[in-house]
Amino acid sequence: MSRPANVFSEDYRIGFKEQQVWSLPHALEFFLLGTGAGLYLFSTWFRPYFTGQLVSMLAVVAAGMSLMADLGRPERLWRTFSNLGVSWISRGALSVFFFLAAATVGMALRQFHLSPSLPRLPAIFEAVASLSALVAMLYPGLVLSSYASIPSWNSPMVPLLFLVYSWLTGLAAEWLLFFFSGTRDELGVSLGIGLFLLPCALICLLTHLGAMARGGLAVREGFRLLTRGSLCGWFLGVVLTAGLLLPLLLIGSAIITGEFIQLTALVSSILVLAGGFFLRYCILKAGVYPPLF
Amino acid sequence: MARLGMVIDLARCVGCDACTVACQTENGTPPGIQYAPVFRKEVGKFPQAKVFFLPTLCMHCDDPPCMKACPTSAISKRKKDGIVLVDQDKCCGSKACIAACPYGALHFYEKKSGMYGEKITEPEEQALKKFTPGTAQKCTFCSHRVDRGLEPACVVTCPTNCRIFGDLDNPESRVSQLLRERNSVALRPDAGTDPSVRYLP
Repeated sequence: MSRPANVFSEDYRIGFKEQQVWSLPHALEFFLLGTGAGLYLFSTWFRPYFTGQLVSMLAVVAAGMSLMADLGRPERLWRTFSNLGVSWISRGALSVFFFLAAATVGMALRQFHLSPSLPRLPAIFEAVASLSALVAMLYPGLVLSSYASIPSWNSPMVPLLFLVYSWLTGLAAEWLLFFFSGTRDELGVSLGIGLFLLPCALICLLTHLGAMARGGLAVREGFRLLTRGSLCGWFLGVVLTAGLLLPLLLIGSAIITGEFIQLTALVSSILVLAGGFFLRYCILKAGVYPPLF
Repeated sequence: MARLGMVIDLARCVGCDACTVACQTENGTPPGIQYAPVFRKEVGKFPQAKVFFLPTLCMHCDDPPCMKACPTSAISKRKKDGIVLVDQDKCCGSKACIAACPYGALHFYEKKSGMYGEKITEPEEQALKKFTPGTAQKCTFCSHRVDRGLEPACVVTCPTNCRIFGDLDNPESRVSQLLRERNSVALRPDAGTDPSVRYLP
């Protein structure tokens, strides 16, 4: 009787499996959360700006609604705080709760002058909200990077990428608000920050891509999906070209020439926000499970 | 304290799917949800073609990633035997566990439906009572049978005895003996989950 074949050879690998669980609703949640939290930080610390704070909170609420819409049992949302010891989703949910509570109180105190005897009280609430916003910006990346099941997510670059993109899309949201209500000088300064953040995001993205290109089988399959596969158009077209390179070029030209500042802010804002959304979508969809063996 | 586990002898598996059907019958799983699917892959070309079968189920990991991912603490590991279970009354349906499982062992039960769509037969109605729509579902190692001193349905049904069930922590158990005598492998060792299901090539 012949020996059984070596079932653990390459030939017997049962193929890759793309993750199907997290898709558009999660991409939307991560995008709105990152953008809202980033916008809050910009509109609280760089230039105190009530409309910015309000829009940021609305974006975070919308992120929560997007998540709730995807929950199988939304009435049990309160339970998501119950595994803080190990679950990054629990920690993220708590940070969002703290953010909304502290930002609301801070905004009310400042806007309606409710604490004349304690002038520093609004700033304390804003600081708590800002710390929570930072955690909220990081947590989607930390959730993904904690999953060893999907090696392309299981990378320290993913939280960094989500953090940088949260700052970037938060800034882009500020450009959009400034286009409608800001001055030309404010726009110029804000676009200048973009000239720093856009290359940072580009470096993070290229570093992550480089690591993916050199990764294991499933990571390389994710890389293939992003650069030559089904996500190629979204990733190379919207995230990389329209979302990073084009705004960099537009803003650089506008700042050098000093012309078309407002139009540049509007166009760049739309491009960066679209790129930021599709970055989250592409990272989620490029999550590939390796063969079982 | 025991650590219940399973050894699957791949050389014996003939891909008859009896385990899959036995599991569905025992647990009355909703349509589209299989706790114990058998993967298959054709290798080579005629006349050298072969089919390889890989029976799977929840690995009841020693370090379950689903448990860490769950935001509601709905997934727990029984202290007495290491069986990993989902508490459907706590699950909020975030699907975090499904994404976190390297083995695809968790399933989302979206809404109540029968084999014939919306029309649910009386037996289905009875079976589906155990499942809460909008929650995650997974293999329980037939904990209800184990609690009565029985083996899981897939184990007792397998016509080739390729599934062997027992206590991995008991050196005298058949599973421990097999693991000592033969080389075994775990699926996705890179995930660091220390699964309680091992395969013999």
